[in-house]
Amino acid sequence: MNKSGTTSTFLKPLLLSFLILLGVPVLIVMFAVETAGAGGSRAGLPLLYGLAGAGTVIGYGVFRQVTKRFRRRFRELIEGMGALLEGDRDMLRGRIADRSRDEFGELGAAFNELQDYLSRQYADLERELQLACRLQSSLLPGGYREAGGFAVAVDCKQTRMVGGDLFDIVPLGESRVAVVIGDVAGKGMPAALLMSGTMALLRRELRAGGSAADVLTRTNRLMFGALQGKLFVTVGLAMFDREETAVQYAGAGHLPPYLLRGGAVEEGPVSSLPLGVLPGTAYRNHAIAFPPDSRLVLFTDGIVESDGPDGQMLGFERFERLLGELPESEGLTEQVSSLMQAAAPSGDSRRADDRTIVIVSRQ
Amino acid sequence: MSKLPIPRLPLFLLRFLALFAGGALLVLFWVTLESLFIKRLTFPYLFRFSIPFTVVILAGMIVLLGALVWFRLRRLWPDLSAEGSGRRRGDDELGHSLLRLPSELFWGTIAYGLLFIPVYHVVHFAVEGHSLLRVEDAYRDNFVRSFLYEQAVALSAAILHYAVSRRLTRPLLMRLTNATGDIVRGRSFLSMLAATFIGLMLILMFSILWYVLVARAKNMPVEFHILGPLILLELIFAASIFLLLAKEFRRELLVLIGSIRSLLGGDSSRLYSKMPVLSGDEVGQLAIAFNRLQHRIVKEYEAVAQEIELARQVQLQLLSQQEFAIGDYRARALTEPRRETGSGFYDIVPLQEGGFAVFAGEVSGAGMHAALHMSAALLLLRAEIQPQRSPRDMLDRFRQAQSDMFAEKPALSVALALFDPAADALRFACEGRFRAVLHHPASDAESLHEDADRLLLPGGRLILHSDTALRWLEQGEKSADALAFLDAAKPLPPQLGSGLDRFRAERERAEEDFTLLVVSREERRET
Repeated sequence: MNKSGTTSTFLKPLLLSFLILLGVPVLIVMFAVETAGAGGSRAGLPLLYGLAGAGTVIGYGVFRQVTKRFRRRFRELIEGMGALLEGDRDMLRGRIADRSRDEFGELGAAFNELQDYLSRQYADLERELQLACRLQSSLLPGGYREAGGFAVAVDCKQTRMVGGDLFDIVPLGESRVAVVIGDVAGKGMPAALLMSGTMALLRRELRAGGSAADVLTRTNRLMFGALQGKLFVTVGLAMFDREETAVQYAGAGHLPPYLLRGGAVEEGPVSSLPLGVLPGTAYRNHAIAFPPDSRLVLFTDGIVESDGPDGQMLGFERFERLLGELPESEGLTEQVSSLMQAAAPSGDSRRADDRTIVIVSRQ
Repeated sequence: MSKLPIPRLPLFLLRFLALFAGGALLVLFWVTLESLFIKRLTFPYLFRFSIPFTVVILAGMIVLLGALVWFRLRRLWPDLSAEGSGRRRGDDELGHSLLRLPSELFWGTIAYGLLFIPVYHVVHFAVEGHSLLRVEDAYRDNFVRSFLYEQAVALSAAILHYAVSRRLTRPLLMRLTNATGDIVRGRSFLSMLAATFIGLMLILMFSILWYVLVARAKNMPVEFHILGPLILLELIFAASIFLLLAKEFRRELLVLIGSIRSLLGGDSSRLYSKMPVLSGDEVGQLAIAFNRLQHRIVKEYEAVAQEIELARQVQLQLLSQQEFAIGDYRARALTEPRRETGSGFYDIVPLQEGGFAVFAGEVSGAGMHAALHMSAALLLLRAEIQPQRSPRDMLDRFRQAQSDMFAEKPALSVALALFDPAADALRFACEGRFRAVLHHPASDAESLHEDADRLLLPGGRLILHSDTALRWLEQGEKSADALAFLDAAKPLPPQLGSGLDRFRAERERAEEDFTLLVVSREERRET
């Protein structure tokens, strides 16, 4: 660490170069005066003028170069901070790299110390968020799974470290599997709190049995008891059965799923109120034909509403086109990640919403 | 940063006048030197016209620049000297006009030179009795040389004014919280150094060439014992004015470094304070860049803190059932988190036929991680409350559902009681560090450590509590009695008194949240 006692200062080299660049041309001219003065001829004058002019110009030019070095170091410091500003959250904790022992280095060191101090101040908060993030990730294992004769690929990206999107794949016996997708109103930690509770209740109710609509109706009753209509969750629930040709689907305020078959993209049934809004909401089952070569795509609104890499919202139209173009030959995981890519948020991640995509097909 | 009291405006103005007087003396010194040693004029000649008239012109400069400073400061002064560290009206605006002052003085000095050096020479010319219509070549050359030399001298005076006025305005600028906004685009500090270089180089070169020229014209020898010391003096002057400028610059850098370091020493509220923006050049830009970054960082962390606050609001929403009354039963609950978000939970769930269930618990761990578990536990346990089941059955089913949900079943303490008013009965079950105290007016309080079925007669109370709540309340009392006084008919915090206050003060040391749920049955049954 730099101590003010041991640091050198940028003044010395600057002053030294100033005096040398000023003194040397002057001495040269003085020397020329002495030799020319001895001759006493007027012819010496233009030479003297030339020398003085050249000395001034060269001295000045070199001095500018010296000062440019300092200007560059300033610019590096200022731009260093600017770069931290442009970056995301993690970038904010960046360091300034000037390691010299003069004032510039000391400034960088002081700045870095402040950064350290700030991260220490908030280390507890960060650690808490990390733990919460790990817990949530363990609840939402993305990737590829097979259950009850169906293949499921999922990707879930919370905008913040934790978020309000949820999904669940609950095997129900040998030949059945329930796929849940949901979105808690809000973002970040407050949404995450409800997300874990909602997931727990849904899983419990799924194990208890009944149709998709039964599960939602019961879960809603339980949720309303706790939320009193002040907070809500949208959920889509699809029950897959290997013995059946159709999927049983019930939605609670969630975006309808898409059925993909060949190049065709078909929008699923619209759904009723989200969970937690009214105590007595009765949800309805919908049958979605699910032939062997088709895929069901469930997603959250962050997919269509986030600003894409080009800075534009993906929107339903473009999303449907993307779905139509999804190559069937590719694995489900690749399909999910290519859709996720298209909905990846641009630089300003603060405006993006949590994003989840689930694709299900028969094995 | 120490904020020295601001002097009265006239006193402050005097400092500037002294500065301009210094600049004037500098000019007079160099011009006289030039006349004596380079033009080889004599003192008597100079006293006849040159020195008096130069003094008049320089006095004019002092007055004009002084007026400029007065004009600038006059409007700022009431705001600047206002007491209190709070953000005053238009800090940015004040900062801007103060930041501009050194530059204005610099250009003011240059402009004054440009205007009055020719005036001096024209008047001098006329006073000597020459016709202004017919200017001889020698005079013309002399005028051009004098003008360039004297303008270079004026430039060095301008630099002096710039450097020192920057120094003088610094304490004022440090009082301003000039913050993140854009400021006047100042020149680079280094162009100031370059201007110093070129100005002094010109003075030096002119001195030599002119000396030689005059020597030739008057057929006098080049005397190095005069020229040498003259040049040396000029070099020393060059070094000192350069140092003056560069040191001011360095001092401002050190102020910036000092400000950052002082943030480190202070309490966390100081983190919100801003670096002073002392100039429009690199140091100022650096301070602005720093302030912007600081602002962003603090906002970022504030957003996290705010998010956690919102999470607590959601928790409170889930815990909104704090009071309950049915028949002669009253129930009240309270949980005081030991961190920003809580890990304690409770609920009161009415059942059919006047029965009800209460539970209170605590998931292990603290912070967000525990909060995620807490909301799931609350919702899951609530879902298991059904009239036909025994409390043990409910807890077992709840634990099953929980382990179904989380790969690592969270450690958890919970106490649950089911009330059947028709039979005066309560059934109790608990796990982990949650206990209950059963109190009857006629007998001693009983601690319930394990599953039990008991009667709750009129006047009786059941208190579910975390270990922490008991620990903070008991204070040497026999443990059960420490809680037995609690009555659900009245708000809990006043009854808890100093115990709760102590917990709030020392909450960081607690191992779990302060969670209590009290059920009391009134003495006289309503008929």
